[in-house]
Amino acid sequence: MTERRGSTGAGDPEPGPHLHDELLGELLDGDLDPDARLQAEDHLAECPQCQRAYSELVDLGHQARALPQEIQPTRDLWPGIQAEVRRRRPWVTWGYGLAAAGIAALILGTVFFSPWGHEMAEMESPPEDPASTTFVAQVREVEEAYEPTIQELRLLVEDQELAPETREVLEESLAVIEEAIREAAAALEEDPGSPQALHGLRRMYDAKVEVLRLVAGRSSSI
Amino acid sequence: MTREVGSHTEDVRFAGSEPSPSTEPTSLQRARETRRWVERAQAGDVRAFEYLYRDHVGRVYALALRMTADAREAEEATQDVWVRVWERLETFRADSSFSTWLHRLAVNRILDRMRSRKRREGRSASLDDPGVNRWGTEPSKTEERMELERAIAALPEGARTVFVLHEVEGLKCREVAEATGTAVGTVKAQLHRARKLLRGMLTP
Repeated sequence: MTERRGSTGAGDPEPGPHLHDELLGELLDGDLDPDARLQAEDHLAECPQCQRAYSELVDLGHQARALPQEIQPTRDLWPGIQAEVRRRRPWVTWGYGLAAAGIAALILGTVFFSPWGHEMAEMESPPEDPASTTFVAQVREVEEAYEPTIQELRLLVEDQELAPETREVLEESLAVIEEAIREAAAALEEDPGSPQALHGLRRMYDAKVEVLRLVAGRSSSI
Repeated sequence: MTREVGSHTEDVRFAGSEPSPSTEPTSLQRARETRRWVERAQAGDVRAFEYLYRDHVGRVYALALRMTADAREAEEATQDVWVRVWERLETFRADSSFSTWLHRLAVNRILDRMRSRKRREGRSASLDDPGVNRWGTEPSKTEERMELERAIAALPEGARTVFVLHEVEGLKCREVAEATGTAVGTVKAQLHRARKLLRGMLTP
Protein backbone atom coordinates (compact mmCIF):
# COMPACT_ATOMS: atom_id res chain seq x y z
CA MET A 1 0.00 0.00 0.00
CA THR A 2 2.97 2.27 0.27
CA GLU A 3 5.86 3.38 -1.87
CA ARG A 4 8.86 5.61 -1.72
CA ARG A 5 7.92 8.94 -3.23
CA GLY A 6 11.52 9.73 -4.21
CA SER A 7 14.36 11.64 -2.65
CA THR A 8 13.36 14.42 -0.34
CA GLY A 9 16.76 16.05 -0.15
CA ALA A 10 19.50 15.86 2.43
CA GLY A 11 17.78 18.12 4.94
CA ASP A 12 14.47 16.23 5.01
CA PRO A 13 13.58 13.83 7.79
CA GLU A 14 13.92 10.13 7.06
CA PRO A 15 11.31 9.47 4.33
CA GLY A 16 8.91 6.79 5.42
CA PRO A 17 7.03 4.53 3.07
CA HIS A 18 4.74 6.91 1.19
CA LEU A 19 1.13 6.37 0.17
CA HIS A 20 1.03 5.50 -3.48
CA ASP A 21 -1.17 7.49 -5.85
CA GLU A 22 -3.81 4.82 -6.27
CA LEU A 23 -4.27 4.59 -2.53
CA LEU A 24 -4.52 8.36 -2.27
CA GLY A 25 -7.24 8.22 -4.90
CA GLU A 26 -9.11 5.55 -2.95
CA LEU A 27 -8.80 7.65 0.19
CA LEU A 28 -10.22 10.60 -1.71
CA ASP A 29 -13.11 8.55 -3.10
CA GLY A 30 -13.89 7.01 0.31
CA ASP A 31 -13.13 3.51 -0.97
CA LEU A 32 -10.80 2.44 1.85
CA ASP A 33 -11.94 0.23 4.69
CA PRO A 34 -11.82 1.91 8.15
CA ASP A 35 -8.45 0.44 9.18
CA ALA A 36 -6.70 1.34 5.94
CA ARG A 37 -8.25 4.77 6.05
CA LEU A 38 -7.01 5.39 9.59
CA GLN A 39 -3.54 4.20 8.65
CA ALA A 40 -3.47 6.45 5.58
CA GLU A 41 -4.70 9.45 7.54
CA ASP A 42 -2.05 8.89 10.21
CA HIS A 43 0.63 8.86 7.55
CA LEU A 44 -0.79 11.92 5.83
CA ALA A 45 -0.71 13.87 9.08
CA GLU A 46 3.05 13.32 9.31
CA CYS A 47 4.20 13.38 5.69
CA PRO A 48 4.38 16.69 3.79
CA GLN A 49 5.07 14.97 0.49
CA CYS A 50 1.98 12.81 0.67
CA GLN A 51 0.00 15.82 1.90
CA ARG A 52 1.09 17.68 -1.22
CA ALA A 53 0.19 14.76 -3.48
CA TYR A 54 -3.19 14.36 -1.80
CA SER A 55 -3.80 18.08 -1.99
CA GLU A 56 -3.14 18.01 -5.75
CA LEU A 57 -5.70 15.26 -6.15
CA VAL A 58 -8.25 17.20 -4.11
CA ASP A 59 -7.59 20.35 -6.14
CA LEU A 60 -7.93 18.43 -9.38
CA GLY A 61 -11.35 17.19 -8.27
CA HIS A 62 -12.41 20.70 -7.24
CA GLN A 63 -11.28 22.15 -10.53
CA ALA A 64 -13.06 19.44 -12.48
CA ARG A 65 -16.30 20.00 -10.60
CA ALA A 66 -15.96 23.75 -11.09
CA LEU A 67 -15.89 23.43 -14.87
CA PRO A 68 -18.96 24.95 -16.47
CA GLN A 69 -21.86 22.53 -16.71
CA GLU A 70 -23.04 24.12 -19.92
CA ILE A 71 -21.20 24.97 -23.11
CA GLN A 72 -23.17 26.27 -26.03
CA PRO A 73 -22.39 24.82 -29.45
CA THR A 74 -20.74 27.31 -31.79
CA ARG A 75 -23.61 26.91 -34.27
CA ASP A 76 -27.35 26.36 -33.99
CA LEU A 77 -27.97 22.61 -34.16
CA TRP A 78 -31.76 22.88 -34.02
CA PRO A 79 -32.48 23.04 -37.78
CA GLY A 80 -30.81 19.66 -38.31
CA ILE A 81 -32.63 18.16 -35.33
CA GLN A 82 -35.97 19.60 -36.44
CA ALA A 83 -35.53 18.20 -39.96
CA GLU A 84 -34.75 14.76 -38.58
CA VAL A 85 -37.66 14.90 -36.12
CA ARG A 86 -40.11 15.83 -38.89
CA ARG A 87 -38.67 13.21 -41.21
CA ARG A 88 -39.25 10.51 -38.61
CA ARG A 89 -42.70 11.54 -37.45
CA PRO A 90 -44.24 13.96 -39.95
CA TRP A 91 -47.76 13.53 -38.57
CA VAL A 92 -46.90 15.48 -35.45
CA THR A 93 -46.78 18.69 -37.43
CA TRP A 94 -50.51 18.36 -38.01
CA GLY A 95 -51.09 19.00 -34.34
CA TYR A 96 -52.78 16.54 -32.07
CA GLY A 97 -55.90 18.68 -31.69
CA LEU A 98 -56.54 18.54 -35.40
CA ALA A 99 -55.93 14.81 -35.42
CA ALA A 100 -58.41 14.33 -32.56
CA ALA A 101 -61.08 16.42 -34.23
CA GLY A 102 -60.43 14.51 -37.46
CA ILE A 103 -60.88 11.12 -35.86
CA ALA A 104 -64.01 12.16 -34.01
CA ALA A 105 -65.47 13.66 -37.18
CA LEU A 106 -64.58 10.54 -39.10
CA ILE A 107 -66.24 8.30 -36.54
CA LEU A 108 -69.30 10.51 -36.15
CA GLY A 109 -69.66 10.82 -39.93
CA THR A 110 -69.34 7.10 -40.42
CA VAL A 111 -71.85 6.31 -37.72
CA PHE A 112 -74.34 8.84 -39.06
CA PHE A 113 -74.08 8.15 -42.74
CA SER A 114 -72.98 4.58 -43.36
CA PRO A 115 -75.35 1.65 -43.64
CA TRP A 116 -72.89 -0.13 -41.35
CA GLY A 117 -73.61 2.45 -38.66
CA HIS A 118 -77.33 1.80 -38.76
CA GLU A 119 -76.78 -1.94 -38.77
CA MET A 120 -74.60 -1.68 -35.71
CA ALA A 121 -77.18 0.47 -33.99
CA GLU A 122 -79.89 -2.04 -34.67
CA MET A 123 -77.79 -4.87 -33.35
CA GLU A 124 -76.66 -3.22 -30.18
CA SER A 125 -79.43 -0.83 -29.19
CA PRO A 126 -82.42 -1.83 -27.14
CA PRO A 127 -85.83 -1.45 -28.81
CA GLU A 128 -87.14 2.09 -28.76
CA ASP A 129 -90.30 2.88 -26.84
CA PRO A 130 -90.18 6.67 -26.38
CA ALA A 131 -93.85 7.06 -25.73
CA SER A 132 -93.73 5.02 -22.53
CA THR A 133 -90.69 6.61 -20.93
CA THR A 134 -89.77 10.02 -19.63
CA PHE A 135 -86.68 11.91 -20.73
CA VAL A 136 -84.67 10.81 -17.68
CA ALA A 137 -85.65 7.21 -18.12
CA GLN A 138 -84.80 7.38 -21.82
CA VAL A 139 -81.31 8.72 -21.14
CA ARG A 140 -80.75 6.15 -18.38
CA GLU A 141 -81.88 3.37 -20.66
CA VAL A 142 -79.40 4.39 -23.33
CA GLU A 143 -76.61 4.79 -20.80
CA GLU A 144 -77.28 1.38 -19.30
CA ALA A 145 -77.28 -0.19 -22.72
CA TYR A 146 -73.89 1.19 -23.66
CA GLU A 147 -71.97 1.66 -20.41
CA PRO A 148 -70.93 -1.99 -19.88
CA THR A 149 -69.39 -2.09 -23.36
CA ILE A 150 -67.78 1.30 -22.85
CA GLN A 151 -66.31 0.28 -19.51
CA GLU A 152 -65.00 -2.97 -20.95
CA LEU A 153 -63.36 -1.13 -23.84
CA ARG A 154 -61.97 1.48 -21.46
CA LEU A 155 -60.23 -1.27 -19.51
CA LEU A 156 -58.82 -2.74 -22.71
CA VAL A 157 -57.52 0.68 -23.73
CA GLU A 158 -55.98 1.23 -20.30
CA ASP A 159 -54.11 -2.05 -20.64
CA GLN A 160 -52.56 -0.92 -23.89
CA GLU A 161 -49.18 0.78 -23.94
CA LEU A 162 -50.28 3.78 -25.93
CA ALA A 163 -47.98 6.54 -27.03
CA PRO A 164 -48.78 9.75 -25.15
CA GLU A 165 -49.84 11.45 -28.36
CA THR A 166 -52.22 8.57 -29.20
CA ARG A 167 -53.75 8.81 -25.74
CA GLU A 168 -54.04 12.54 -26.21
CA VAL A 169 -55.85 12.08 -29.53
CA LEU A 170 -58.16 9.52 -27.93
CA GLU A 171 -59.11 11.81 -25.07
CA GLU A 172 -59.65 14.71 -27.44
CA SER A 173 -61.86 12.54 -29.64
CA LEU A 174 -63.87 11.32 -26.67
CA ALA A 175 -64.28 14.91 -25.51
CA VAL A 176 -65.74 15.84 -28.91
CA ILE A 177 -68.15 12.91 -28.72
CA GLU A 178 -69.13 13.67 -25.11
CA GLU A 179 -70.07 17.15 -26.23
CA ALA A 180 -72.18 15.63 -29.02
CA ILE A 181 -73.83 13.31 -26.46
CA ARG A 182 -74.71 16.30 -24.29
CA GLU A 183 -76.24 18.07 -27.29
CA ALA A 184 -78.22 14.99 -28.26
CA ALA A 185 -79.48 14.62 -24.68
CA ALA A 186 -80.49 18.28 -24.68
CA ALA A 187 -82.47 17.72 -27.90
CA LEU A 188 -84.17 14.74 -26.28
CA GLU A 189 -84.99 16.81 -23.21
CA GLU A 190 -86.67 19.38 -25.43
CA ASP A 191 -88.69 16.72 -27.21
CA PRO A 192 -88.86 13.58 -25.01
CA GLY A 193 -91.13 11.69 -27.33
CA SER A 194 -89.02 12.24 -30.44
CA PRO A 195 -87.69 8.99 -31.97
CA GLN A 196 -85.20 11.08 -33.98
CA ALA A 197 -83.75 12.66 -30.84
CA LEU A 198 -83.45 9.29 -29.13
CA HIS A 199 -81.90 7.82 -32.25
CA GLY A 200 -79.40 10.72 -32.33
CA LEU A 201 -78.36 10.04 -28.73
CA ARG A 202 -77.79 6.38 -29.48
CA ARG A 203 -75.69 7.25 -32.53
CA MET A 204 -73.41 9.35 -30.32
CA TYR A 205 -72.93 6.41 -27.97
CA ASP A 206 -72.23 4.24 -31.02
CA ALA A 207 -69.53 6.73 -31.97
CA LYS A 208 -67.99 6.57 -28.48
CA VAL A 209 -67.96 2.77 -28.58
CA GLU A 210 -66.39 2.80 -32.02
CA VAL A 211 -63.60 5.21 -31.04
CA LEU A 212 -62.73 3.01 -28.07
CA ARG A 213 -62.87 -0.11 -30.23
CA LEU A 214 -60.60 1.53 -32.75
CA VAL A 215 -57.97 2.26 -30.11
CA ALA A 216 -58.45 -1.08 -28.34
CA GLY A 217 -57.78 -2.83 -31.63
CA ARG A 218 -61.23 -4.40 -31.69
CA SER A 219 -62.44 -2.84 -34.93
CA SER A 220 -61.18 -3.09 -38.44
CA SER A 221 -63.97 -1.11 -39.97
CA ILE A 222 -62.33 2.31 -39.99
CA MET B 1 -38.73 36.07 -27.38
CA THR B 2 -36.64 36.38 -30.50
CA ARG B 3 -34.06 33.85 -31.41
CA GLU B 4 -32.05 32.63 -34.34
CA VAL B 5 -33.49 29.60 -36.03
CA GLY B 6 -31.41 28.38 -38.91
CA SER B 7 -30.38 31.15 -41.19
CA HIS B 8 -33.17 33.52 -40.29
CA THR B 9 -34.43 35.23 -37.21
CA GLU B 10 -37.76 33.87 -36.12
CA ASP B 11 -40.00 35.66 -33.72
CA VAL B 12 -41.29 32.90 -31.51
CA ARG B 13 -44.27 33.90 -29.44
CA PHE B 14 -46.22 31.40 -27.48
CA ALA B 15 -49.87 31.81 -26.63
CA GLY B 16 -50.77 32.88 -23.13
CA SER B 17 -52.06 29.44 -22.18
CA GLU B 18 -48.71 27.92 -22.97
CA PRO B 19 -45.81 27.78 -20.57
CA SER B 20 -43.31 30.52 -21.03
CA PRO B 21 -39.83 30.85 -19.65
CA SER B 22 -39.86 33.41 -16.88
CA THR B 23 -36.92 35.68 -16.15
CA GLU B 24 -35.55 34.16 -12.96
CA PRO B 25 -37.57 31.13 -11.99
CA THR B 26 -36.93 29.23 -8.80
CA SER B 27 -35.83 25.65 -9.16
CA LEU B 28 -39.37 24.47 -8.35
CA GLN B 29 -40.91 26.81 -10.91
CA ARG B 30 -38.32 25.73 -13.40
CA ALA B 31 -39.06 22.06 -12.76
CA ARG B 32 -42.80 22.65 -13.18
CA GLU B 33 -42.22 24.63 -16.34
CA THR B 34 -39.97 21.93 -17.76
CA ARG B 35 -42.59 19.31 -16.93
CA ARG B 36 -45.23 21.24 -18.84
CA TRP B 37 -42.96 21.54 -21.85
CA VAL B 38 -42.17 17.83 -21.64
CA GLU B 39 -45.87 16.97 -21.56
CA ARG B 40 -46.51 19.10 -24.61
CA ALA B 41 -43.55 17.60 -26.42
CA GLN B 42 -44.76 14.11 -25.51
CA ALA B 43 -48.04 15.01 -27.17
CA GLY B 44 -46.13 15.78 -30.36
CA ASP B 45 -45.62 19.52 -30.01
CA VAL B 46 -42.36 20.25 -31.83
CA ARG B 47 -42.22 23.83 -30.56
CA ALA B 48 -42.27 22.58 -26.99
CA PHE B 49 -39.52 20.15 -27.90
CA GLU B 50 -37.50 23.03 -29.34
CA TYR B 51 -37.87 24.87 -26.05
CA LEU B 52 -36.56 21.84 -24.16
CA TYR B 53 -33.68 21.61 -26.60
CA ARG B 54 -32.71 25.26 -26.19
CA ASP B 55 -33.00 25.04 -22.43
CA HIS B 56 -30.78 21.94 -22.12
CA VAL B 57 -28.52 21.84 -25.16
CA GLY B 58 -25.61 23.48 -23.34
CA ARG B 59 -25.52 20.66 -20.83
CA VAL B 60 -25.58 17.96 -23.49
CA TYR B 61 -22.99 19.68 -25.67
CA ALA B 62 -20.60 20.20 -22.73
CA LEU B 63 -20.84 16.51 -21.92
CA ALA B 64 -20.32 15.49 -25.55
CA LEU B 65 -17.41 17.87 -26.03
CA ARG B 66 -15.59 16.67 -22.94
CA MET B 67 -16.19 13.00 -23.67
CA THR B 68 -15.23 13.14 -27.34
CA ALA B 69 -12.65 15.95 -27.17
CA ASP B 70 -13.72 16.88 -30.67
CA ALA B 71 -15.99 19.85 -31.40
CA ARG B 72 -17.28 18.46 -34.69
CA GLU B 73 -18.05 15.04 -33.24
CA ALA B 74 -19.59 16.71 -30.19
CA GLU B 75 -22.01 18.63 -32.42
CA GLU B 76 -23.02 15.49 -34.27
CA ALA B 77 -23.39 13.59 -31.00
CA THR B 78 -25.52 16.40 -29.58
CA GLN B 79 -27.84 16.30 -32.59
CA ASP B 80 -28.00 12.55 -32.35
CA VAL B 81 -28.84 12.70 -28.64
CA TRP B 82 -31.72 15.09 -29.25
CA VAL B 83 -33.18 13.00 -32.06
CA ARG B 84 -33.03 10.06 -29.67
CA VAL B 85 -34.66 12.17 -26.96
CA TRP B 86 -37.54 12.85 -29.35
CA GLU B 87 -37.89 9.16 -30.11
CA ARG B 88 -37.74 8.10 -26.48
CA LEU B 89 -39.62 10.98 -24.92
CA GLU B 90 -42.80 8.96 -24.53
CA THR B 91 -40.94 6.61 -22.17
CA PHE B 92 -40.08 9.46 -19.82
CA ARG B 93 -42.17 9.37 -16.67
CA ALA B 94 -42.90 12.56 -14.78
CA ASP B 95 -41.89 11.01 -11.45
CA SER B 96 -38.23 11.59 -12.31
CA SER B 97 -36.32 14.70 -13.27
CA PHE B 98 -36.16 15.41 -16.98
CA SER B 99 -32.58 16.66 -16.75
CA THR B 100 -31.50 13.46 -14.96
CA TRP B 101 -33.26 11.34 -17.57
CA LEU B 102 -31.74 13.42 -20.35
CA HIS B 103 -28.26 13.17 -18.83
CA ARG B 104 -28.46 9.39 -18.59
CA LEU B 105 -29.72 9.10 -22.15
CA ALA B 106 -26.99 11.47 -23.39
CA VAL B 107 -24.20 9.56 -21.62
CA ASN B 108 -25.40 6.27 -23.07
CA ARG B 109 -25.86 7.66 -26.56
CA ILE B 110 -22.48 9.38 -26.64
CA LEU B 111 -20.78 6.23 -25.36
CA ASP B 112 -22.57 4.18 -28.06
CA ARG B 113 -21.28 6.56 -30.71
CA MET B 114 -17.76 6.41 -29.34
CA ARG B 115 -17.85 2.62 -29.35
CA SER B 116 -19.19 2.53 -32.91
CA ARG B 117 -16.60 4.99 -34.05
CA LYS B 118 -13.86 2.98 -32.40
CA ARG B 119 -15.05 -0.18 -34.10
CA ARG B 120 -15.25 1.61 -37.44
CA GLU B 121 -11.83 3.07 -37.22
CA GLY B 122 -10.29 0.07 -35.54
CA ARG B 123 -8.51 2.31 -33.12
CA SER B 124 -9.12 4.98 -30.55
CA ALA B 125 -9.89 8.36 -32.01
CA SER B 126 -6.58 10.12 -31.99
CA LEU B 127 -6.61 13.52 -30.44
CA ASP B 128 -3.63 14.43 -32.55
CA ASP B 129 -5.43 13.94 -35.85
CA PRO B 130 -4.94 16.95 -38.06
CA GLY B 131 -8.09 18.95 -38.49
CA VAL B 132 -9.57 17.90 -35.19
CA ASN B 133 -10.88 20.97 -33.50
CA ARG B 134 -10.97 20.01 -29.87
CA TRP B 135 -12.67 22.99 -28.41
CA GLY B 136 -13.52 25.37 -31.19
CA THR B 137 -13.19 28.96 -30.15
CA GLU B 138 -14.51 29.61 -26.70
CA PRO B 139 -13.78 33.12 -25.58
CA SER B 140 -13.84 34.48 -22.04
CA LYS B 141 -12.56 31.45 -20.19
CA THR B 142 -9.90 31.59 -17.57
CA GLU B 143 -6.54 30.20 -18.51
CA GLU B 144 -6.63 27.74 -15.63
CA ARG B 145 -9.90 26.29 -16.78
CA MET B 146 -8.73 26.14 -20.37
CA GLU B 147 -5.59 24.40 -19.25
CA LEU B 148 -7.63 21.74 -17.46
CA GLU B 149 -10.02 21.38 -20.40
CA ARG B 150 -7.08 20.91 -22.76
CA ALA B 151 -5.46 18.43 -20.42
CA ILE B 152 -8.69 16.41 -20.14
CA ALA B 153 -9.03 16.46 -23.92
CA ALA B 154 -5.49 15.13 -24.26
CA LEU B 155 -6.18 12.08 -22.07
CA PRO B 156 -6.50 8.67 -23.70
CA GLU B 157 -10.13 7.94 -24.49
CA GLY B 158 -10.79 5.41 -21.73
CA ALA B 159 -9.22 7.52 -19.01
CA ARG B 160 -10.92 10.66 -20.30
CA THR B 161 -14.36 9.06 -20.37
CA VAL B 162 -14.05 7.81 -16.82
CA PHE B 163 -12.60 11.08 -15.52
CA VAL B 164 -15.32 13.19 -17.16
CA LEU B 165 -18.15 10.97 -15.96
CA HIS B 166 -16.78 10.59 -12.43
CA GLU B 167 -15.07 13.89 -11.65
CA VAL B 168 -16.93 16.38 -13.83
CA GLU B 169 -20.37 14.78 -14.07
CA GLY B 170 -20.37 13.32 -10.57
CA LEU B 171 -21.26 9.70 -11.38
CA LYS B 172 -20.12 7.07 -8.89
CA CYS B 173 -17.59 4.48 -10.04
CA ARG B 174 -20.36 1.86 -10.07
CA GLU B 175 -22.52 4.07 -12.29
CA VAL B 176 -19.62 4.73 -14.64
CA ALA B 177 -19.00 0.98 -14.82
CA GLU B 178 -22.66 0.36 -15.71
CA ALA B 179 -22.67 3.07 -18.37
CA THR B 180 -19.43 1.97 -19.99
CA GLY B 181 -20.08 -1.74 -19.63
CA THR B 182 -16.85 -2.35 -17.74
CA ALA B 183 -15.90 -3.62 -14.30
CA VAL B 184 -15.70 -1.25 -11.34
CA GLY B 185 -12.05 -2.20 -10.94
CA THR B 186 -11.35 -1.13 -14.51
CA VAL B 187 -13.07 2.19 -13.88
CA LYS B 188 -10.94 2.79 -10.80
CA ALA B 189 -7.79 1.91 -12.70
CA GLN B 190 -8.72 4.31 -15.51
CA LEU B 191 -9.54 7.00 -12.98
CA HIS B 192 -6.18 6.54 -11.32
CA ARG B 193 -4.49 6.71 -14.71
CA ALA B 194 -6.38 9.88 -15.64
CA ARG B 195 -5.52 11.60 -12.37
CA LYS B 196 -1.87 10.68 -12.68
CA LEU B 197 -1.67 11.91 -16.28
CA LEU B 198 -3.51 15.11 -15.47
CA ARG B 199 -1.32 15.90 -12.50
CA GLY B 200 1.68 15.35 -14.75
CA MET B 201 0.27 17.69 -17.39
CA LEU B 202 -0.91 20.38 -14.99
CA THR B 203 1.98 20.47 -12.56
CA PRO B 204 4.60 23.04 -13.65
